[in-house]
Amino acid sequence: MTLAACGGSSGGGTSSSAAASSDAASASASASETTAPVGEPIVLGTSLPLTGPLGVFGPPIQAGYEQAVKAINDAGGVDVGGTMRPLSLVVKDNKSDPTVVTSTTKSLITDDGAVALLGSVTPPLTIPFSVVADQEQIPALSGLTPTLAWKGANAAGWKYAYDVFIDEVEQTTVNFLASDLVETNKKVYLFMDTEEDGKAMGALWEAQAGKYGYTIVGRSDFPPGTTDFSQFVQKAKATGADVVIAQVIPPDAVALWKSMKALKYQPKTAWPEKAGVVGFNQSAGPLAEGASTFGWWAPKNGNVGGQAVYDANKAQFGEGLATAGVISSYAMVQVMADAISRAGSTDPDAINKALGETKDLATVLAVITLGADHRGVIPANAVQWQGAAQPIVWPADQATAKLMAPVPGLAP
Amino acid sequence: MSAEALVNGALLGGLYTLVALGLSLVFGIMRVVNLAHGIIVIAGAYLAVVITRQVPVDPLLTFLVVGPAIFVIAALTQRLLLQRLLGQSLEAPLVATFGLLLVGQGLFTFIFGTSPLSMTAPWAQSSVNVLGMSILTLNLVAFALAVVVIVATQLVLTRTRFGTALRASAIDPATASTLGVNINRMHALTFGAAAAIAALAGIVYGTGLSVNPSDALPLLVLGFTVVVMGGVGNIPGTLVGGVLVGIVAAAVGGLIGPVYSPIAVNVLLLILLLVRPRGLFVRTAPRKPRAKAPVNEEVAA
Repeated sequence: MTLAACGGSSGGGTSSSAAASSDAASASASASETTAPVGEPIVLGTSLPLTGPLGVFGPPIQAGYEQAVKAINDAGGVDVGGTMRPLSLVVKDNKSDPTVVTSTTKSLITDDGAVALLGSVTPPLTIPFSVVADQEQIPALSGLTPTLAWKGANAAGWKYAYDVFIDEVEQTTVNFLASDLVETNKKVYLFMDTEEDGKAMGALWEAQAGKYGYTIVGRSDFPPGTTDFSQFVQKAKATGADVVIAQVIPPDAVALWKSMKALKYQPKTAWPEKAGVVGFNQSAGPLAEGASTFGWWAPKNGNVGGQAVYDANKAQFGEGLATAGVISSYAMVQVMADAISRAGSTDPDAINKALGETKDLATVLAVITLGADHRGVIPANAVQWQGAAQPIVWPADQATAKLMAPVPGLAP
Repeated sequence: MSAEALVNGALLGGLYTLVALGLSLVFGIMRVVNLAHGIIVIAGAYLAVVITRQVPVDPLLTFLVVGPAIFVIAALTQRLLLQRLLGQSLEAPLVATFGLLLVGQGLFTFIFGTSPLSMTAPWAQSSVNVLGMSILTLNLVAFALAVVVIVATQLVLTRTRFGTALRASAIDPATASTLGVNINRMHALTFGAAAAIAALAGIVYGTGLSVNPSDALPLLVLGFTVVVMGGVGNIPGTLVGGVLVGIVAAAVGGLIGPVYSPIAVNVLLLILLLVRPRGLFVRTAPRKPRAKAPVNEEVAA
């Protein structure tokens, strides 16, 4: 396999050896030394939430895909059976709407001739995307969707769809382990929306809490778009919970945080999961200070070239998880390109087979192996909004800042 | 469910009222279903965001600039676009306002992105103790504004020559026109005023919650719900409709769970449409139908 630009390297297994550079930046820099790709473009299609409630996630994902495609093309393209072929990326806006995900993904295959698909974010969007991939028998890879909820959506097992991200069981331990960094009363209140991940994650937090000495003292479930959280905040406040975990979309998290502030409820740690990942400091303003979420990339997690991608994007997307989203997406192109190269063909079945055999592939995100269940699980960490950045606060060996508690943004 | 939750829900109904009032005015006077109403609310919020980023003032003060600006833009839009379509067909203004909604969403997404933005104000992040209940200041502000706007609108409509002309143009445009009422001007002023009220709602909404382009459609639906409950064109009824939505959402949220709040509001709306199709506070049609009974007489009430 020749995959000079992506910074990926195969650590063995079924992946062939890679002419990979040590990082993405140097790989891009070496592009001038390579010959331009000559073959027919390989079309990769992606349906992204560029607008709608999850629209905040679209731009960094698109940036990651585009940068990886450019880097690979600049370095000569993908070696497909001895011919260096460029990648071509087709992007469609799914408006954060699962039904539009379905239509746009089908269009990518039938209208644009995509031979492989790249996914977006969250189970509500990635599951219909994966369903289309399985129906149309086109390999599809997503990089920002919790893997258990995604896996659970297809009891028979995914055939052409793959997902590389954290495992929710591990993710839901992060809140407790990171909260252990400060003294709390070990009481937790859950605010869950009624989307798939809200249901699944809520159940996991309830199941996990006891193992780490925490007690779920209350839970409120509500539909996305809820505007009045006051009585539920009062309920949470009455329980005295020192830890608040909310699995909600960004607008709802802002409303919830404003309500907590107004009602003078200041937990020791507060986790606007999903919503707090990207742009929460702009959405909630000063209230975002001290809001924590899980993270999925760290400079020292074994990745190859991730820091270069991070540094190249932090000015645009900030020092935090939006830039980590760029890295995740960049890595998905690396994984897909690696599979195409090893398949030696753009036949979807051949790519699918090679994709399933991905093992110990060093990418800008982490070392990735796709399991028999089509998941590639990467380790989770905890980050916290501190100013405009999201430094890693847990685990200790990767931490770049100390956890602030109680949550400063919610101080009465 | 506590009394506190009900009071907060009722007061939050003030925000719903502000969102809905412009919709009711435009339909009541112009007979136009303004599908762009939600995006006008959003426009008010975004304009306030822009101003507060440049000048650190309370977002409500931005209405001094936002209100007139949105009024002028909306009045011009009415004169230059909708006015030309009003005589064409019933569908034309509907399609045009839907187009404005889509254009607005695209424009705001291009300018501001899709990440929610919000403004900071002390009244959006505090609460006051009233009879042992913690009442969100946001809700008090929204309700107070709604009452002021409702009363002012009602006074203008019923106690001024302008209001008389406006009501006349709504009830019988042809006759009003022969009596010297400039119908086109009345419609432009109505559309502008409705938009300015929507902009005020946007400022409160964007400060108390947040704003993003995809909010336009849910706000439109919310507005319709409130308007239908209160009675299309019934100004005081809009306040009652807003409060009712707030109370039902809070009550069902507290008693059964917030998941069921929007369902309950929609079920209530359906029941009202069956039982009181013209809204809770609009008098039912007289038993003996009058010749050429004005269909939108409630506007003038």
